[in-house]
Amino acid sequence: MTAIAAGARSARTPWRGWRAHVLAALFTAPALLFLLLFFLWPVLRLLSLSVEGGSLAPYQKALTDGLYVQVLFNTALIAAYVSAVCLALGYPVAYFLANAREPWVTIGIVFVLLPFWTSILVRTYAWMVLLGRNGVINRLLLETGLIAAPLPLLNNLTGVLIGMVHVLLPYMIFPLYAVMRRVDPGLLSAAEGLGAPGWQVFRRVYLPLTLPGVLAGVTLVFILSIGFFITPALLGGGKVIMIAVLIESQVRQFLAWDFAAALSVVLLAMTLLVYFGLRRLFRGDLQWG
Amino acid sequence: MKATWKISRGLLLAAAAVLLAPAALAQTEPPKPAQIVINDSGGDMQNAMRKAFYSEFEKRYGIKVVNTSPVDLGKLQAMVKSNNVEWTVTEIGGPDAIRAEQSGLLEPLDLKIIDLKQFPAHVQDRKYVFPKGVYSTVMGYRTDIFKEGARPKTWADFWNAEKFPGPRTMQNAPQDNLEFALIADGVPMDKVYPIDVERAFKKLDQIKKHVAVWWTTGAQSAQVLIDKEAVLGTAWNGRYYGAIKNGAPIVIEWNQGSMKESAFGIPKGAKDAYWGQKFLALAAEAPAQGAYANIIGYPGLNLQADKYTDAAMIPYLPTAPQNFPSQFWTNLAWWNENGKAMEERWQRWMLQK
Amino acid sequence: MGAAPSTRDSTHSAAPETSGPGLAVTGVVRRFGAVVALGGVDLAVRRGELLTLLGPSGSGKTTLLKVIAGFEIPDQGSVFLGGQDVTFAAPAKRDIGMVFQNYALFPHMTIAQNIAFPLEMRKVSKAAIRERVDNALKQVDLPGYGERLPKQLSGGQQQRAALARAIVFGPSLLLLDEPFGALDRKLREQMQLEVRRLQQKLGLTAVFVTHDQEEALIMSDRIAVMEQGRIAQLGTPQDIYHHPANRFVAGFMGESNLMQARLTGPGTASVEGGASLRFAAGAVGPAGSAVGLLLRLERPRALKDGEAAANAFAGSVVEVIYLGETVKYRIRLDPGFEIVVRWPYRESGGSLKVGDRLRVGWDAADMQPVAWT
Repeated sequence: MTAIAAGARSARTPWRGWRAHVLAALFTAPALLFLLLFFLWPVLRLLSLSVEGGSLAPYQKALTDGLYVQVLFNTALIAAYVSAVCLALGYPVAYFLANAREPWVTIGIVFVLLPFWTSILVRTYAWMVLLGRNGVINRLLLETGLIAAPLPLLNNLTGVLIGMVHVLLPYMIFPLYAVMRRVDPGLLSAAEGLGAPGWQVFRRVYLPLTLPGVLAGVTLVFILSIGFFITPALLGGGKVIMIAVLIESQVRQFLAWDFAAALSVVLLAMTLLVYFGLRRLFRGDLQWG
Repeated sequence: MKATWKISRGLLLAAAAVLLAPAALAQTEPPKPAQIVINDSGGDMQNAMRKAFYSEFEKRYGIKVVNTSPVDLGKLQAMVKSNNVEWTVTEIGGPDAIRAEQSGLLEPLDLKIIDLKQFPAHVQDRKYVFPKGVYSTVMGYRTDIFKEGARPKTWADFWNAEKFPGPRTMQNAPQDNLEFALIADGVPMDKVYPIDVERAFKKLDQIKKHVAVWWTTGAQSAQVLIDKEAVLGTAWNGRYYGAIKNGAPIVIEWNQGSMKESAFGIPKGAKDAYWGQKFLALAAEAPAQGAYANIIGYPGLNLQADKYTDAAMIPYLPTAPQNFPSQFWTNLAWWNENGKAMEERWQRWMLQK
Repeated sequence: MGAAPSTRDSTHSAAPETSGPGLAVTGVVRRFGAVVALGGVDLAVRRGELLTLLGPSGSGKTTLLKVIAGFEIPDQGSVFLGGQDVTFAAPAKRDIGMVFQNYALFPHMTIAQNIAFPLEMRKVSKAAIRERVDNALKQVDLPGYGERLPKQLSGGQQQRAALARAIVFGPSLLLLDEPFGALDRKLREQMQLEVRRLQQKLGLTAVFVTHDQEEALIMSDRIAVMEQGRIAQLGTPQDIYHHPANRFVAGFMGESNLMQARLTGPGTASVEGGASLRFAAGAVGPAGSAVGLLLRLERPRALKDGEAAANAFAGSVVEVIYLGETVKYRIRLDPGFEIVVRWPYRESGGSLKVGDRLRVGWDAADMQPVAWT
């Protein structure tokens, strides 16, 4: 047909009344049960562990001790960096995937998923080989004369960011891809037809329309970043301390479950805070969704 | 649900009675399980133990040995406390062994089954922690950087970045490093404990900027030297041995190394604990210990094991006559007492710019 | 593109004819691989005129619309807007207001923000924007809806908002791409009239795309019927309806009797079965050549006894279809051919039944010759 604006937004099925509610409850029950069993229950266990000693001392320590406050802050900061880099790299990739034709979509998705098929430890060691002072990248740059001295890519924050971004990029790309696939190309044509130059079409129409994907991706990557353990330890040369390392040593070495649990709860609270903070920040832009 | 539970419990008791009665009467050993689970550090260590211990155990008793890793005190505690012990035997490292013993996480060793008579006198009366062997945290360096005649020999040399320039690597943990710092600062090896913490950290301040990598895993400690990320470092002796065996230009300096005992334990409430005791008995035998040392460079404590160790291997063992006297024993009791505080202080120190 | 320059040169002379405000498309060719979507289209839209591109799907009307809007660049030919060659200009530079089939309102903006969008892109001052948006909302009968989101409006209201957005900046051309396709019949008829009224009131030059001939007849000043990438006929609704240029147009413009016949003389032809028919004069070819004879359903009448007509035949009713106010009868005429007629229910008789005999007749002027090929 003569449809420049293809892809009408499908009308919602107008299910009303209690029957729809019962049906909805029935359909969501398994998922709810799953969440209850595998999320809520462990969280409650964690909470109870943290106050097992009968005092709030673990919390007091977690929230006032300079070491833990500083490391919590560092952790959030690194998670923010990783989210930002993932967004900057993932957005164009997702855009490409959402707009490419077969077979490029499949090929692209396979490439994005590739990191998932190797263990995180193997991936991390591979980065150590690539990024080292005498690693592949530095040797290449030195031999081509682009640099005079090896770049410090490993055993510092740069190494940690590279390694984490590599692992987490798919978690940014797929939510973005899912949202971008649903963007009606007719809206972009409309914007263009109404006199918007390319970048305005992006800024005023495409970006706001893909914002839910941005929010989902950033939230996912941020939350996953916060719990990172082995990658920062190995690629940071021990100089980048993230909270998971401290929690782990509390449990593994010192059997201090209460304090570890308190730290975890603080971490969880921080994550929720960030999530709801981001939602609030974008609320005005999301209410149409 | 309740009825089922009662029935199954009843069945269980009946089954137990049937199984136990003849055993008690005939004084024979418990029935053989299809498999036992041994938790170890994984990697090269696991490969070596499979060759030296696990295969032999499987051959001798017809019980399969299944492996899990890594070694994890927290997990051990969780298993014991929840009465859901998956491991028959587990490796335990350093001060963790003392902590596990004090926390009541281990089954007592049955010394009627495990023969420790060929072991040094001070470990013959072990109650819970099986003295598996000895390892040492030692200095290592690249031979292409430090030529013959100009090589670091002491921790004072290690600290001397002017005379021995180049990036260092050390473990990302306070243990060993505090000792090395004190020795570098002039404290004699036998006067290291109790550790003067202030002095040690002050000395560590001097080396901090020269440490390119604070390593986390054993594999990393040697790889850092192989990749030339650092040219001088510390590691567990077996890690350097593995690299040297593979042709890396690395030399071990045994002088002032920090020796420790590695250990096995049977988790409290382990299923088939009897077969765990049998496994430890095998691991205590001199031939098995010799075979193990030949593969990985970690000697056992059976004094007869030398007979089964290759002559070429001897220089790489911390217990070799030429290496043993120049090292010191880590005081695990001190670390058990101060470990947690030291860990926090260490992390604080790491955070400082 | 090898032949493009010459094509463009040769057609260039056609442009000045419609120069000044208005739209001219000259010699436009667009191919997609082996498929020729547009096979040389010439079209001139006068200022203030609403011209409809009418055709079935695949006839090229969407491609032509995209070429005009700038979403497609033609392989050959040119597009002139107000006398200016915009063939290669970006859509944003063409000053065209577009209304899309699915409204294409930005879901994340309020109605007012949607309507303000083209003004913002043209850097109109904030105060002027507010005024013009309010004005546009009034024009489409949506005052007070500015702060709502598109999803909070009905389909018809969304379409009005989309219309307001397309006209608010005073475009030199308004393109409407099947804008009423998603509306129900009643709403569609209402919107057709409203859009037409607004277009005339504002004096907008407009191109309207539809596949619905009825809609085209209602809305248009002129209609271009498209067939396989070409314009089959261009003319007023009356022209097209009563004097279709060929069989395709005749068939597309509503239900009719279209008979294949052979010319036997000036204004006479014989159909299957041998009957001779008289039709409106006009040179359509030499005797013996094939011709199509078009007879609209409402033209034949039932003849009273003794009443004569240029074409008069007796026959019997074969089929009766009730359509409410009118009834369709299929009548088998005695010479051996069938026609379908549509008569008002009251007059001609809901009384006729299958098998009834009657005489049917129509004038020569009622029958239009159309090219058969």
